[in-house]
Amino acid sequence: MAETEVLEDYTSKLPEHIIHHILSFLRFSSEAAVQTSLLSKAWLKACRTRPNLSFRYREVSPRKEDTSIIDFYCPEKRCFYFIQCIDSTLQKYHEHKNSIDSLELTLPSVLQPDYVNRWIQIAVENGLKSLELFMSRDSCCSILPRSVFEAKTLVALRLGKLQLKPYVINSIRCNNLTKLSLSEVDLDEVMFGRIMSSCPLIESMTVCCCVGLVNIKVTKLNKLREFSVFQRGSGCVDVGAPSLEEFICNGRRLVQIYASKNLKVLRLSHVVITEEFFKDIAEKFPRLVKLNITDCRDLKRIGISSHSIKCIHLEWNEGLKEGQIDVPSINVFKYRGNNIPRFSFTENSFGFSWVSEIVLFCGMLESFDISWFSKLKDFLTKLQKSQISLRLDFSSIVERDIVDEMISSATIFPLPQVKSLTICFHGIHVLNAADLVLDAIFWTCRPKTIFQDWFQGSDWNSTNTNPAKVIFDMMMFRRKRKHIYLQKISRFWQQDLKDVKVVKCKNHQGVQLPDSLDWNTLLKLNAANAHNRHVPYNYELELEWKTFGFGR
Amino acid sequence: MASKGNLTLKSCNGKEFIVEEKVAVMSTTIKNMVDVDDSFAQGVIPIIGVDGKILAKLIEYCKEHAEADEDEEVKSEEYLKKFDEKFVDELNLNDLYDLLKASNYLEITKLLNLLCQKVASMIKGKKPEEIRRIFNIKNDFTPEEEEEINRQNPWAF
Repeated sequence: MAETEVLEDYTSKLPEHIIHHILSFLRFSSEAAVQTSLLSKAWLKACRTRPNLSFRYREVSPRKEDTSIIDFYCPEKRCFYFIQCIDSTLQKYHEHKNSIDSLELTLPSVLQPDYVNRWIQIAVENGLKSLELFMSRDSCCSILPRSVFEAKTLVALRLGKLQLKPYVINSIRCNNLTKLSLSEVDLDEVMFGRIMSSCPLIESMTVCCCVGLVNIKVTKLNKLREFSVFQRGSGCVDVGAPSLEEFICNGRRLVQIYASKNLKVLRLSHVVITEEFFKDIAEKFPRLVKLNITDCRDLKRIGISSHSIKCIHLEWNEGLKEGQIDVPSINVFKYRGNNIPRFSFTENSFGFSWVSEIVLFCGMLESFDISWFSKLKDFLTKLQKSQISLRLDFSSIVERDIVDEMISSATIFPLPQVKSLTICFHGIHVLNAADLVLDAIFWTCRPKTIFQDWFQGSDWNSTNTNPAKVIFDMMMFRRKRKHIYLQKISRFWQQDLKDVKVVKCKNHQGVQLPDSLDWNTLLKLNAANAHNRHVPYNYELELEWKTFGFGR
Repeated sequence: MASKGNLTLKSCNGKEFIVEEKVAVMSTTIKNMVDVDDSFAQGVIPIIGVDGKILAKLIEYCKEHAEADEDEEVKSEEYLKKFDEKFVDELNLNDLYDLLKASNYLEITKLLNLLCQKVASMIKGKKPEEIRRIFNIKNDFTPEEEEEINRQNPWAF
């Protein structure tokens, strides 16, 4: 055979630590790790010496090809093999003194703590830095083996579904810990305080659904940079950490943050805070860049005044009535909600281009009337200095008499411009829903592009009740009129519309489709592209309006 | 001659690239060279075993990531993710392999992570024969050896 046909084996020549590195990305899928050990001798060796070990006990049903192994179904046997597998693997590491960087264990609850203690001890002797210890999904909480907090070499520790006992906490030796994550861990405030005072180097900490922790107080961690709390139930979270850069809190908790002048990112969801919290936000957090607030029910009004903030994200199911935004460095403003609060933005504060993303779930909380669309218009007008992308999710229809009233009351110019508009319909298959919605929207604003998930619900693609088709036909009507004179649909906004283009987009790059395109051709085009699921095409309508909204 | 704040990198086939220092020191190896020996900062830094094509790719990557580090644009995370995706998608196997070696030698941790993750994603969910085909891995096991490995790990934990 000719020499040239022999292709080079790239991987087997790679340094072993690179193969280890590659394997470390496969650790969540142990099957993949097994598959790779079968590739070649070089891969087998790399697999057997990989420093990232993961053993996950799964109570899942076996794959088809495994059914030959009847023991698979038997929990006792499974557990036995699981223990044997870890035992023999760690024994080899112990004998050959191969280093172990990380160990992940997801354990069945029947397991004796002695086993875990032994494994952790071997791993620590081999330099263990990162330990993850979880009980498997259907197991109940088990008592944490004492060797965990005695592991001197640890820098990262994640625990899940475990119960801490005082005797474990009394001998903490992992004093170099920089990362700690506790989820569904049963411990009390005293134990939590004890961990923090024993591990002063913690930089990143997560507390998630830890039932015993009612009040979380973090004051001694001078190096803490990231702190996330996801807790159910009531209680409070008090944080005072000079290095804190990112704080996330999710849950009905009273939140207090003090002495954290380095805070850059603040995300609060469902927490109990009032207007008072934001009063001196610029002073309290002079470096704050990102502020996310989601569903803080008690907060009806919000006033944000800061020179450092660049990104504001507000998301409210209900209840936000008013927002005063005085943030001159803003880059991105996002609002998602069921209602339109009264927003005010400090005049002239936005000298440069910024982006606003508004998502409104319409017709859920407030019924549509002329004042709803006036409110929307007012909101968009206030955002006029930004590039607006607006998404309207309709879950109820706009009544014809409301639209008639809007049209008869005449449009008041100028209308706000919207860079891109997305329209979605939820459970509305009514033919005139779409055309009335379109009328109401064009009474409110002038979008430059309309995007829709045109092909959602493919079973009603071709029917006349498909809102996407209605919108498409309405928009394309103008173009068709050049050829066929149709008086049937004539809308108040059509005289302002100069041109409509259909653009096929992929990764923000668009190709204009031919003028003569009709709905059925579009469907066919999409079907032809459907196999290419990785990079689906989007179809947009690009609208060109006469004298953008000024005068008639 | 590079101006102040710039460094000159020279590939093994003699191509020279002038890059900003903050871009070059994304590589820990280069950073150490510059820190230890001042003459490197003025002169030309030879990048042993890396040819011009691969060095250009490395610089392309480091440029994007160095710039994004410095200015704290809020949207940069998303942008970098897209850049990374495109960067690895466009690589052929040869380049992927050369870049892996180069980023390992130059200690560009972020890139090494990205490339290893790419290889892992090419392995995930595939049978050994498929993986061998993709990477031209030669199966050097005897059937008996293969049997033995299969016997040793029937349980995927």
